[in-house]
Amino acid sequence: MSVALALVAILIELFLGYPERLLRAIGHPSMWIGHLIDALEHWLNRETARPQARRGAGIVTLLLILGIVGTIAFVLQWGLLRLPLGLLATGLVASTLIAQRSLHRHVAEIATALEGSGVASGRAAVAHIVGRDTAGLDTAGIARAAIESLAENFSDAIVAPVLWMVIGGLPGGALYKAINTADSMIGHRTPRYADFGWAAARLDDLVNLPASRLSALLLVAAAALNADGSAAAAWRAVRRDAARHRSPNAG
Amino acid sequence: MAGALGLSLAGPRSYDGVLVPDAVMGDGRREATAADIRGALALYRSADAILIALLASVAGVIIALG
Repeated sequence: MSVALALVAILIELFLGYPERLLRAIGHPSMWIGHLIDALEHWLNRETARPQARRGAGIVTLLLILGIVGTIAFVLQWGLLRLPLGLLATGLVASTLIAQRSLHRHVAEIATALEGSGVASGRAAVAHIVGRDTAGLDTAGIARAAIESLAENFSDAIVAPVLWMVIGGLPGGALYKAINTADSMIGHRTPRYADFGWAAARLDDLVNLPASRLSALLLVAAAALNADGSAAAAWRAVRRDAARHRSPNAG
Repeated sequence: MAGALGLSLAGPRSYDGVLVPDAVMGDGRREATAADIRGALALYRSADAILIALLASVAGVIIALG
């Protein structure tokens, strides 16, 4: 169990975030994972292959990604923990797998755009964080997309990486991030990805099961702090509606 | 999130020009506003603070026992 590491990482990310200058200079770990997935996808996803073969190639790709990311994270943690202040150093690296600040900033920008300059700039702001078509969205559609994305990413970008860090340290958090990034890149039900991305999508659903439920409980608990009865309504909605959503982890 | 804010969220959405069906979450207003986004952000900050408090408590217990 690495509760202390997860706590250090979430606090570092809360107060420091990922510096903009570092982002411009060297990118971000999830971008590096993205490049790796992209390269393997171009290499192994053959549009002419049979569906079963493409599914197999997707499984091989996922295993390669997990092997590479897991090994790097394991070696990094092993080395860092031997240094003086090793927990702090490991937590600093692990903090890059959590996105409390950037998620808040991106969603707040959508509210600011709607409050200030209107629907067109709201659409542009929301297009940064959602995959759906934004051209036809009105103010209510933009606001719903922003809130849905906030709820989903609270689980995917904060609770899930922290939970897997508690269970598996830096490698646990990094492996989760790799699976979630793979799902966002190749887990679509389009002709190119339906078979190749099958394994990534299924594994992502699986590793998000515990965190999505914990996220729902945390949001209900947060609503209870408001003491306006909204917690009961939140709990009713979770109980009644979560099973109906397309994703087993939404609600 | 939908229930806590008195909204109904999700429902059918369009991806790359294709309308994808989905169930609606919650039974509140469909007409969400910028103020609802602010409310969602406040809820998000509270839930995040509870998560951190939970981690700190578990870490504290482990240190106390260890």
